[in-house]
Amino acid sequence: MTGQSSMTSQTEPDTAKQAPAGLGRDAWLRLRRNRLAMLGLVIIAFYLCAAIFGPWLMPYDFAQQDLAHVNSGPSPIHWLGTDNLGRDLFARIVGGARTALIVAFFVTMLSFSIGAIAGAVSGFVGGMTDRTIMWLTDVTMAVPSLLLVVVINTSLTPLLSGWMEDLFLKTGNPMFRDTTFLDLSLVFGTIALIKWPQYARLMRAQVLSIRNANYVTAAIALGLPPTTIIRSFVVPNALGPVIVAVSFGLGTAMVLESSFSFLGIGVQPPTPSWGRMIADGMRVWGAYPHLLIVPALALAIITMAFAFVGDGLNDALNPKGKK
Amino acid sequence: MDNDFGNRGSNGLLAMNRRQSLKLLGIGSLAPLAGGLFARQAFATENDILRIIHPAFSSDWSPLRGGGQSYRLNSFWVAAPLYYSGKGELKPYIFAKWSANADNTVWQFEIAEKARFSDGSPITAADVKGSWELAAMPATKNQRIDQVLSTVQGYGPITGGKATVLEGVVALNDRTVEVRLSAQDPMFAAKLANHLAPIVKVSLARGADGNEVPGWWNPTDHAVVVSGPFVPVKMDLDAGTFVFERNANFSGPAPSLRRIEVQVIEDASTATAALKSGQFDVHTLIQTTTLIDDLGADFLSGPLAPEGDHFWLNISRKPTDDINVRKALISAVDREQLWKLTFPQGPEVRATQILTAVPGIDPNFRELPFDPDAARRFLAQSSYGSAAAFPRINFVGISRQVAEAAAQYIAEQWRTVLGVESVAMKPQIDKFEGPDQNRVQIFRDNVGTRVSDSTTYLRGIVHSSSSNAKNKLGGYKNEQVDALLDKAAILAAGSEERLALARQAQQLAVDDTIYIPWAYRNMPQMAMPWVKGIEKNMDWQVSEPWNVTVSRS
Repeated sequence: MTGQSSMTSQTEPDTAKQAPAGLGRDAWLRLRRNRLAMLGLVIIAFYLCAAIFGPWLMPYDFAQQDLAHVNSGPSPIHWLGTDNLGRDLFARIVGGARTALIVAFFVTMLSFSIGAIAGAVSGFVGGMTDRTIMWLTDVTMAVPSLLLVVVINTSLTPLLSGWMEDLFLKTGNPMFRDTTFLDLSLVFGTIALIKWPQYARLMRAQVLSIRNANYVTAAIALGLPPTTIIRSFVVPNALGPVIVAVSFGLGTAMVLESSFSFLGIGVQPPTPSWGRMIADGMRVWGAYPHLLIVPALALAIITMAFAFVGDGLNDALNPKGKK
Repeated sequence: MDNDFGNRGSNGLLAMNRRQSLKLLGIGSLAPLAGGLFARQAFATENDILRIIHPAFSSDWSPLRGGGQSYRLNSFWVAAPLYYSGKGELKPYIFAKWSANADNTVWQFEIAEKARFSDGSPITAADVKGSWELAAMPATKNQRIDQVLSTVQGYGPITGGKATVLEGVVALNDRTVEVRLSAQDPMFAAKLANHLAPIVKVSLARGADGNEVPGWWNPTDHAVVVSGPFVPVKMDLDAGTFVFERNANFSGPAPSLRRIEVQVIEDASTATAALKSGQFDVHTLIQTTTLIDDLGADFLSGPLAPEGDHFWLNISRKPTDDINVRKALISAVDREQLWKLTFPQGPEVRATQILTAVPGIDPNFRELPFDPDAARRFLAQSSYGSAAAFPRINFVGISRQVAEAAAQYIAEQWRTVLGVESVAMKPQIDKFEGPDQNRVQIFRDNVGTRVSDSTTYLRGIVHSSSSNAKNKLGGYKNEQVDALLDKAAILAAGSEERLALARQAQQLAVDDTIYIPWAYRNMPQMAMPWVKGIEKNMDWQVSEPWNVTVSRS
């Protein structure tokens, strides 16, 4: 008895200190202890700052040509060197970070929104709705993603570009002449189309495991409408693994954007994109290796950072799953 | 009574211990490797074999197409009526002698006495006539036959599909061909000095309907008979592997090489590495911005070609339909920097006038200078007032790395000097969709001539009848230019009056602001230093393939 009471007396003050932490705070505390995840967060924060504030801090515009320093290596004037048009590689890397991060966040938001809603509805409603949504995910996932991207881009880009040019000629509004907006929209749409089924399936699996939980049964018994039950009980409790998937998805979206640009079907020059820079660098890697190494490293580091954070979130949000 | 030796002998491999098995495995692995290394060494020292990298797969290697990537290999296996040496001298080949009447409307050509096909049969006047007819048949789809035969009587009906006979070409006897022209042409003989309409064995290459026999040039199913110094013995179109062997019956000098092996490698980086490692000796056509860094300056050495690479402005599309806009676009581009940026180590030369590497270059040529202030003034004077009212400016012909760099440089200059914000670049016109195909304003393309004559050169570029004027320049027609070139065309080749008229026509056309000059090209041999005698001529062919030697150490 003595032993028991002493144990109780030892644990009570700790509990009093830490409670009531909540799921988010607990996860954050666990995440903070993960050094790799924190490193990843720092890297992502650095890239974000560079992408947001870089254009105002950089001494060069990403399109500005310094013809006295063409294909030059790293130097005090151009920290990471210049490309074949004398454009500052650092400015282009920062510009590329902006493109990559814009694509990553917008695409992930778009695909996550579609996937999460579709998955939640599919899992919660079941029946014909579930079968239809899952059939759609199967069909989308069955088509090779690269092929799908090529088909969509090669068929839509020229059509939309011509249509926008027509609009410009009719209205004189320069917005319709800007092809960057069109390029980015197509990249967003295409990658979102590829990625939403993953979120839908994950969310559906989570919902299926939650929908028979006591608190959901209780909510149904209370007569709450299905949308409220999904929004207030199912989705919040299913979010843990989905958040992990999203953090991995951000990195994947950046790699996909770079892959498309590498193939010449993404963002068009002179808008900088790491994939395009890697493709250009590959053609001259023998003579000017920095033109390949710098953008490849930039992409590798941020992708790894998202992977570290994703892994850390997985451990933080799912502590039981950690060995 | 069995000893160890006996046991091993009776039970074989199964009786070996683990160490012995590993030894055997090691020897088994190393032996082929060592054998391979020795084999490669032996392979590499065969100096009578030329190994060529070709950049593109194709299912059609007919030498009668008058263009395409495989065209550049034509001189290895088909003979031309005449040819230009690497120094630009007109030389006899199938034809040993030629002469014309007083007004250059009737020409006679005598076939060399020793001229033979690879099967030993003589090359006759009927073969010459038949080869030209075959090249002119519409089904043959020869890309440039008009450059050779357009002035020959009966050319229209045969290319129009209404005849199978070129009535202006007459076989007077087995060795004499007479050509009757519909217009005076003092340059007609020079126009034959190329492989656009090479001489083929008509009984093999031409069917009863007058059209080309499909695949007559492919040795996969039958022996191929050709007129050139090498005979194709293997063509694997899918693998992109081709083998040519010395033609024992070739009528010219005996080729130094015994064999030519061609392998398609599409990727330029892989091809560069293969050349650098010594696996291959020559490339048909490779263009990267680091070729000199990678393979040395000698790889691209060669004389200047009568060919320029420029950005042509379409005069009937918005906004380049306005001459002040064209002046602004040209004045805003620093052409010196454009050239330096794209060809920092050569071998291309900065372009100014259209004419290059032919007699008649204008020493007093005038062009719009690079002047940003003047560019802005021109733009302000234009009907657009500013670049904000421009539609998107579309480039085509941006198919190579250097072309892309050049186009991006131009676009950036336009952006900084004139405020042009929207530019699109595509490799080919069909990459633009629907109406956009009719909105292309800038065409990057190379133009040139296969004849060492300034009038012929300009007629193919700025005369209103030329494809360049009709298509890329959007129907460009300056009646004064046409008249000057028409007048020059019937004057004696190389005469001072002919040259002066050509210069005058050129200046008038340039004053119409129709192009942004970029670079003059040379005829790079694209061969590693151990290959000699591979100089090319105006036809982009190895001018004397029988002289090519290889001396690998």
